[in-house]
Amino acid sequence: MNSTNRALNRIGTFIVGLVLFAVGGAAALAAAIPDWMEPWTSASSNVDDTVTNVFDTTKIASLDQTWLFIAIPVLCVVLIVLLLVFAFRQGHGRSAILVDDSSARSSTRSVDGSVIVDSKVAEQAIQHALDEHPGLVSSDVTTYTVKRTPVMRITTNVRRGVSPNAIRTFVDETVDAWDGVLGREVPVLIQINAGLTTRVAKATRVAPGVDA
Amino acid sequence: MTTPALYRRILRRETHSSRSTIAITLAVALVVVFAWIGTESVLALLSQPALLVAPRDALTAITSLPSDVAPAAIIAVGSIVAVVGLVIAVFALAPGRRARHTGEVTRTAVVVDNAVIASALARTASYTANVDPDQVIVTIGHRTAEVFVQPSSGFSIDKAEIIEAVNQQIDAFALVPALRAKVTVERKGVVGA
Repeated sequence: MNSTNRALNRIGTFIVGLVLFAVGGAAALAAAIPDWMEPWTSASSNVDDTVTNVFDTTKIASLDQTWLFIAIPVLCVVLIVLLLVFAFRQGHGRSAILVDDSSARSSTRSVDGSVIVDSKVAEQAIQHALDEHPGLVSSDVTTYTVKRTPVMRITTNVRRGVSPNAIRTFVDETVDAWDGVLGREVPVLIQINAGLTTRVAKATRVAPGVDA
Repeated sequence: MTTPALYRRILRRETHSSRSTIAITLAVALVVVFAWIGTESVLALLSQPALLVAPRDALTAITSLPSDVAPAAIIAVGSIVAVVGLVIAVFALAPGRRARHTGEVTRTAVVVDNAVIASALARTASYTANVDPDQVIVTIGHRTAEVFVQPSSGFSIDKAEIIEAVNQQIDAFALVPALRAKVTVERKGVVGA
C-alpha cells in the first residue's frame, strides 16, 4: 500500500550483494591460485610510488596536503545523505485526505466551490461499524495514496476459526453503507489477518454454519 | 490508473515482500562505512592521529595482504564474504512471497493471511469430524491445504465428509492461487479426548 520504491530496494540490495561476492571471490581465488596471486603481490611494490605520486600531484601548496582528503569527505557526506534519504523514504504514502475535488476543473464540478473529505471521517466511521462484529479482535482503517488515487486499507484481526468469507461480507456491507454516505466509491483493500493478539484472544462462539 | 489496475498493483505488493528490512540494514551499514572513511580523511588532512587506520596505511595494507597473511586465511575470509554477498544477491532477486492469498476482486480487494485460512479450515474439519479443534492441524502452502485429523480413540471418522466440507469452504473462499485440499486421518486416536 505504501509508496516504498521496491525496485530500488532490490537493485540496491543486489548491487551490494554482487560487490561483496566479487570482492570476496576475487580475494579467495587470488589466494588459491598462485598465478593470480602474482599481479597482487607485484602491485604492492609500486602502489607506494603511485600513492606518493598521486598525493604530490593533487597537493594544495598552502595546506601542504592533498585535496583528495577534502574531496573524499565531501563525497562521503553526499553518499550518506542519499542513503539516509533512501532509508527514510520507506513506508510512506499515508494520506490525510480521502476526497479532494478542488483541483478538478470547474466544468466537471456540479456546483461552485470544492469538497474536501478528511480521511479521519471515513476511518472513524468504518472502524466504529467494524467494532460490532464478534469475530474481530481489532481493526484499523488507514488511507493511502497509491498512484495519486486515495485508497482505504481496512485491516482486520480475526479470532481463531472465523471464516474469512464472513469477515469479507461484513466489511463489504460496511463499505457499501459508507459509499452511500460519501456518494462515491473509493478503492478499498481489506486485509484479513491473524495477528499476535489473535492467538491470545478467545476463539469465537459463532457457529461455523452461519458463515460458510 | 483505473481501479482494476490499481487493485492488481496493490494485491501484488500486499502478497510480496518489499525487501525494505534488508535494504535499510545495508544502507545503515554503508552509512557507517562512509562516515568512517570521511572521518579518517579529515583526520589525515589535519595531520591528526587516525581513528583506526590512516587512509594511506589502509591502501598499503590491502596490497601487501598476500605477504602479511597466510593464503588459507585470505581464502577463508574471501569465501565467507563471497557467500554472504551471494545470499544477499539471491535474496534481492527472489520473489519474496508472503504467506497470504488474495480473494476475488469485487467492489473491494482482499488479502487473507494463511493463518486465517488454516484456522477456518481447522474449525470446519473439527466440527465435521466432531473432534476437539486441537486434534486438527492444517498447513497452508501456496497451492495446497493439508488437513491432518486425529480421531478420538474408539470413534470412527468419515474422511469423505471432511473432504467435502473442507473443499466446499475452500471453493467459497475463491482464493488466488486456488488451494487443493488433502485430508489425512491419522491412524492412531487420541485417548481420553
